[in-house]
Amino acid sequence: MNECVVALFRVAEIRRASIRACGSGIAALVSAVLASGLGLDLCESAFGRVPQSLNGAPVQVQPYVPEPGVPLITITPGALNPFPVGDGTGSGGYGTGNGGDGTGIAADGAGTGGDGNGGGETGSGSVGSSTALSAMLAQPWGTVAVANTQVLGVNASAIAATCVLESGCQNIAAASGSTVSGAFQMTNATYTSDINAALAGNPSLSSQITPGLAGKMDPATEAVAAAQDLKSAATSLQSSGISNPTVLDTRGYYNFGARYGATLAQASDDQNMGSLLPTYSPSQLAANGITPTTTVGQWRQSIIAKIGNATNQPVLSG
Amino acid sequence: MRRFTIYICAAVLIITCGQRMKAEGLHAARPLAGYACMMLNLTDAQMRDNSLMVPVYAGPSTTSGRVGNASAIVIAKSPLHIVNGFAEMLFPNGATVWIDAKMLRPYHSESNPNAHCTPSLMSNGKPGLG
Repeated sequence: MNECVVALFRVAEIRRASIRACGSGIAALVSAVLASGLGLDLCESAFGRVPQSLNGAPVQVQPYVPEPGVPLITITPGALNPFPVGDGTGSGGYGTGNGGDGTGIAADGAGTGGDGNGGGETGSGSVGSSTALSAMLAQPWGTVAVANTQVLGVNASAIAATCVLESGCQNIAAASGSTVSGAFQMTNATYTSDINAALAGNPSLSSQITPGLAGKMDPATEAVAAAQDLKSAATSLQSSGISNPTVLDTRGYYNFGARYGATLAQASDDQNMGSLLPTYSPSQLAANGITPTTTVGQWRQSIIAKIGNATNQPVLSG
Repeated sequence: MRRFTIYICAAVLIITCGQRMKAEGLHAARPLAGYACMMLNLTDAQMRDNSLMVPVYAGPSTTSGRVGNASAIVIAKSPLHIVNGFAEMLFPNGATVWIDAKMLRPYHSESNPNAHCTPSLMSNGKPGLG
């Protein structure tokens, strides 16, 4: 016990000596910078670890054979994200969009307005931080969609951001004269192509999904096709030299076409969209809600305003 | 003691500004000398056809190995450096690659004839468009 008391006094003496040694201004500045920098870094890592390193919900064990003696545990679908992050900005506004521009996965014309009446980007509410993933997990089908997405090696936050952008994660029926429908607002042609590709690469998924075109109105099944679509976009961007495509990069790919996706990904914030989409006419730009003088930074901010920090998350998780 | 307090305030200010700068978006750090923007020699419809790929190669021949696909606007060596019908260009990841020279045409924006495009070293350390 006495030894401990002596040791504590020694530590106190050393600290006093250190403070005397810091008497000169420069030494004080250096120690202050180090202390502040270290403090901020520690704060960053302490606070950043929860929301920013989460690339979807943790992998869930999904037993298909009950084990004798073990009680049946049911995960209630629609449970909130176990890692809520909310930034206090709320997520209201779903379903109050402006009729949409038909962009995104549903855009079969790659930037020319798609089918035009598919509801488009109805999720106009501000979804900050990781609320995109929380918004999807809050849906009855959210947990299954996350599990299906993991099989394809696609970041769950990326697929969540897509459903938030496309429909506010609401399962919207097709409008008259259009085939664009579902929580991910896909056309029949895109859905069929993507779901077939997903099943070809991951046959085990066939037991998890609703077969045929009916699957497009089952959000957990449509999520598989949407994840395949995102994966294809990310792979295409990689082949164009974009090493780790983000959700934002794939938005450029979907809204303006594959070749322009890579162009936008490497453009400066202050560049004009008219300069980077040189074959687009003013009317084509207007159909995408931009003008020739809209800057890339403004376009990027419009995406960030809708899906928060999911914007810069990588699409591929594996 | 007062001086010490001032130094601490200054240090905190510097670090706070540094944190804010880190959050800025992608921007051009400086122009890349010896390069110019060119665009693919495709129609508007072809440009947005996701199934149509324009390959780039590791060297000035198809047998040198396909590296990937070109994007709409490419950063080409200026003046054009053509070998065996292939033009030298810079890939977004910084690698020197080669493209069929017939696939390139001068940069021109349909919506803005005064548009400019400057190959630049970006704030992320990679080549980009400023």
